[in-house]
Amino acid sequence: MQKKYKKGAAVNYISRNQALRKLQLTLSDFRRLCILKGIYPVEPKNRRKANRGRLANKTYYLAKDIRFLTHEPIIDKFRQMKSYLRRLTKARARKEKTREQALRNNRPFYKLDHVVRERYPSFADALRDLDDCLTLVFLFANFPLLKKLYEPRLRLCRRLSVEFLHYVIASGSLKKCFISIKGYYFQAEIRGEIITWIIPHKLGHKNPADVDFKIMATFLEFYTTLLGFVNYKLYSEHGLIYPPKLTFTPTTSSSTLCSEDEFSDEFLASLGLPIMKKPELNPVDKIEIDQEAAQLLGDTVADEDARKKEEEAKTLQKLFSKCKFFISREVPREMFAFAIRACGGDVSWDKTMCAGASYDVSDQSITHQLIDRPKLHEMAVNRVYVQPQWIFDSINARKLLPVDNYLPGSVLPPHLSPFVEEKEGDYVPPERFGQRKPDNDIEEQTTNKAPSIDLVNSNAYLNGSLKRKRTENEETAPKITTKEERKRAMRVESGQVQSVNVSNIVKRKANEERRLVEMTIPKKQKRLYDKIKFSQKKKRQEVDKLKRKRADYENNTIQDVTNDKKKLMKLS
Amino acid sequence: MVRKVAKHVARNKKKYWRQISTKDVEDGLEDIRVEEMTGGRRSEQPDHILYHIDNERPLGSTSPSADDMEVSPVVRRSVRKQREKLDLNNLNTYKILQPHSCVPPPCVDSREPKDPSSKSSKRLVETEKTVEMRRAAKKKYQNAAKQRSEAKQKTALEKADKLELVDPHVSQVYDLWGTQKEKKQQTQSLVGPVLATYLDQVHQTYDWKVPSHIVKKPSKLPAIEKPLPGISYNPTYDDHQDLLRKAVEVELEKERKELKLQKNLPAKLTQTEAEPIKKAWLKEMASGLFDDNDVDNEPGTESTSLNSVSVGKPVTVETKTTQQRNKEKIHKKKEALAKAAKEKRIQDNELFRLKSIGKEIKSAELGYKQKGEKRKIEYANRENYGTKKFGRYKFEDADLDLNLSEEITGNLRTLKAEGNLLHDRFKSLQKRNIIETRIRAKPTKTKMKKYERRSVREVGVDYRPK
Repeated sequence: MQKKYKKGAAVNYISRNQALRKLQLTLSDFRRLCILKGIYPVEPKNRRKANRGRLANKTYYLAKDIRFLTHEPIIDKFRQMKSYLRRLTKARARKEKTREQALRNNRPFYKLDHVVRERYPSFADALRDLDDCLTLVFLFANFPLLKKLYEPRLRLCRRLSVEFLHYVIASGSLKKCFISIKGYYFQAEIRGEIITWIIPHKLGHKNPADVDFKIMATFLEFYTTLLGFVNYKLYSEHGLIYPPKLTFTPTTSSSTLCSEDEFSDEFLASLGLPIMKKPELNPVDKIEIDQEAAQLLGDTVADEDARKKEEEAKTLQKLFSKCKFFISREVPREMFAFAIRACGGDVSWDKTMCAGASYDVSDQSITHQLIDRPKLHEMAVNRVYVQPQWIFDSINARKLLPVDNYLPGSVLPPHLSPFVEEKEGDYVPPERFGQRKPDNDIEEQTTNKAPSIDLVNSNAYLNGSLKRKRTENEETAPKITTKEERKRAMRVESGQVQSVNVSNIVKRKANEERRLVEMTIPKKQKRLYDKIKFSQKKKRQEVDKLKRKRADYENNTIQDVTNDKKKLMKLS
Repeated sequence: MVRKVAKHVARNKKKYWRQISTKDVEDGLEDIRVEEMTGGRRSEQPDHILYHIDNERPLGSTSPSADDMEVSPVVRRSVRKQREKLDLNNLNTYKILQPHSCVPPPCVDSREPKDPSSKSSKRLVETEKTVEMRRAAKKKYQNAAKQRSEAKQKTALEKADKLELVDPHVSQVYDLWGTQKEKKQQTQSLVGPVLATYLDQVHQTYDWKVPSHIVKKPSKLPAIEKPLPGISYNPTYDDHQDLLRKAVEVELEKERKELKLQKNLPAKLTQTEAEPIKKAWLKEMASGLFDDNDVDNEPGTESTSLNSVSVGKPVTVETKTTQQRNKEKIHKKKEALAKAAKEKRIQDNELFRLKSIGKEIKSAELGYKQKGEKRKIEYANRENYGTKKFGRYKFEDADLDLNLSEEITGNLRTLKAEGNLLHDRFKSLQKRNIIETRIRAKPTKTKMKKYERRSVREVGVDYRPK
C-alpha cells in the first residue's frame, strides 16, 4: 500500500523553514540567494496536500528549486562572509588594529557571472528582461549617498546608466519619450526588443517607509552585474569602444580640483559629446539583415513593414540633425540633452552648470534655445526660444512640430502619452491628428505616385482591361456591314489619350479578391465574420459622426470669426 | 608496568603502590644530570649547536660541482658539456701574421705604447680610470632606476588585475555570452573530455543542470506598465478626468468592502436596545446590597411553583389490533402498485420523448463544457496575470499616483512630482509574484520587569526607623 505523503504535492513543495534548515542559511541570506538565483515562491494548488493535511499560511518553494540551490557556490561565500563578520567584530572589540586591517583586506566576495549566464542563456533573453534592471539602476543612480548604500555600488550604478544612455545615443534607438508626474518614461528598440524604463525626477530624495531596502539592494546587486555584461555586449556589437571614451580628451587645465579620470568621467556623464568607435569595424545593420531575409523568403508584407520601420527610424535619428540647441539653467539638463542627442542634435549648456558644454550662449549658430521661464530679457533674433516640451512632442510626432504653441510664456498644448496606441478605425481627435496624420498623408502621396508607372508597365491584368476598353469604344461607333462601307470608313484618326485611374483599378481588384476570399469562408465562421464586419461598420459610423460633428463645429467657429471681421469692417 | 609484581596484592593497600619501581624515573633524571654536566640540556639548545650541515664531500669524490648538489632523485637531465671558449689570441690565422724573423724591424711603430712611467701616460691612465668609474656608477644608477620602475609597473598591473578579479564593483569586460563556451571547448580540446570534466569539478566551473522553469517568469505582467495618459505632467482634460475617475472607483471599492465587513460584524446595539441590558447588569451587580426584602420574597414564589413534578406528556403505550395491521398491509401494497404503475407510465412517456431528452442532455453537456472552458480561462488568467498569496498577507495594490486638478501647472519647472519610484518598484515585484508580500515587523520592546526593593517596600505609613 502506498504510504501517505510520500508522493505528489507533499514532496514536491517545501516550506520556507524547511528550506532554511536544508540549506543551513539564515532567513536574510536565503532571501538574498533566492533573489540572486531567480527562485520564486510558489502557491500550491492545494495547501492542505502540500502541508501534510494542515492548513497553515506558509510560503512554499518547489523542492526541486531548493535542491538546485544546494549546488550554488555562493552559499559557501555566505558562510565565509558570516565568519568574516564575526572575526571582524571580535577584532574591533579587542581593538586589534592590524588584525582588523588584515581582515578587511581579505574580505570575501562573490561574483554573479555564472548566475547571469544561467538565468539568461542567451543575450536576447537578457535584453527582454532589461526593463526592471534599467529602472532600478537609474533609480539608484539618482540616489544620494545614504548610510544604507554601499558607495562603490552607487558609483557603479551611475557609470552603468551613463554607459547605457551613451549606447542609446550612439545607436539612435530611442523610440518614445514621455514626461509623467512619476518620472521620465523612455522607450528604445534594441535588436528588435522593446525596452522601456523610467528615470525619476531629480527632486529630492524621499525614503518610503514600507519598502524593504535590503531586498531592493539585492536586486540591484544582480542587475548591476547584468547591465555590465549587457553594456559590454551592446558596445562591442555596435563597434564602440568599451568602456566609452570621448572622441577628444578634455583638458584638465580648466579644472585643477579633480583628477583627470574624474574630469573625463564628468564629461562623459554630461552626455553632450560623442563617444569613440572602433576604427576597423563596421557595425552590421540589423534591419538590413531582416530585409534581406524577408526578400529571400519572399515575404512582401514583412518587407514592406520593415521598410517602413526603417524609414521611420532613420527620420527619427536625423530629426534634430539640422538643429543646434542650448539648454537654459532651469531645464532638467540631463534628460533633454539625452533626448536631443539621441535624435541627432547638437546640444550645449551653460559652462557653470555642468561639464561638457561645447559652445556658449552667444554662439551665433544656435537654432533653438530651451527655456522654461515666462520671459527672457535678452533674446537673440536668429534663434527660436521654445519650452522643453517641444522636444518630447516632436520626438513622439516623428517630425519637427511648429514652434508657435511652444513659445516661452505661452500655455502649452497637452503633453500626450505616446504609449497610448490607437487601433485601426478609432476616432482620433484632431489635436492628435495634427501631430501624426499630415506626415502620413505626404508619405501616401509619394508612395502612390511612385508605383503607378510600374503598375502600368508590368501588370498584365491592367493591360487586358485597357484592351477591353478600347474594343468597347470601337463598338460604340455606328455599325458597318458591307465591305465597301468598311473600306470607306477606314481612316486614320488622331489617338485619344486614355485616362486610366490606377488607384481605382487597384482598389477594384483588391475588392474582387476580398470578395473571393469571403466566398470561401465556411458557413460556421461566416457568421462570426459577419459579426466582426458589422461591429466594424458601427464603429466607422460612430467615428464618422464624431468627425462630422467636429467639422460642423469648426465651420461654425470660422464663420463666427469671419462674421465678426465683417462686422468690424462695417463698423470701420 | 609494575602490575606484574603487584598481581596478588590488593590494589587499595599501601603495599601495592610501594612496589612500583622508580627505575625509569631515576634513569631519566640521571640522563638530565649528565646532559647538564656536558653543556646544558639538549632540548633547550638551539638547532645550530646540535646539528651542522654536512658540506664535506664524501670520500672518493673529486670534482664538486653545483649540478651534483641539486640533483633530484627522479628527474635526471642530460647536461651537455660546454664548448670551450675560443681563444682568439691563439688562433693559427693570427699566429701566421706575427713576424717570425729574429731581425727587428727597422722603423719604430708610432702606436707603440709610450713609456708607462712617463707623466702623460700616467695621467691618461688616471683619467681613463675616473671615466670608467663614473660610467659604472651611472650605469648602476640607471639600472637601479629601471628595475625600480619595472617593479612598480609590475605591482601596479598585478594590483589592477587582482582588483578586476576581486571587486564585483568593477564591471567585467568580457563577453559573457560568447567567451565562456569557447574557453571550455579550448580546454576540452587540449586535455580531452575526461580530464576537462575533472578540471571542471575541481574548479567548480561545470554547468549544473538548470531547471527549465527558472527561465520562465512567475507572472506575465509587464515589468513596467504602460503609463496612463492622465499621469502626464500636462494632460488633456479628458485623460485627467479618466484618471481621477479610476482613482475614485478604487476608493469607492475600498469603502464598499469596509461597509460589507461592518455589516457582517455583530451589530452594535442602539441606546434604547441597550437600556434593559444595562439595567439588568446594574441589578445583578447591586444584588444583595440594598433591598433585602425583595430577595426574601422571591424564594417564596418559587416554592409555590415547584408543586408539579413532571413536565412532559404522560407516556401511553400504543398497541395495534390485527385488523389495523391487515388494513395497513393492504394499503401499503396498493400504494406500491400505484407507484410502480406511475413509474411505468413515466417510462413509457419518456420513451416517446427520447428525442427531446437527447436534446436536453446535449444542451446540458454544452453548458457544462462552456462552464468548464470559462473556468479554464479564468484559471489561466489567474495563473498568468494574478497575484498569488504567499504566506499570511494578501497583496494590496498601491494607490494611483495623480495630481489633483489644481496641482497641474502645465509647466515643467513647477511640476509637482508624485509617487515614489522605489515604492512603485517594490510593489511591482510583489505584484509579479517575485517576492512575497510582507508586513514590516515592528521591533518588539521587551518589557522592563519592575520590582520594589524590600527596604523600600518596608517604608509604609507606620514605618519607624530602627
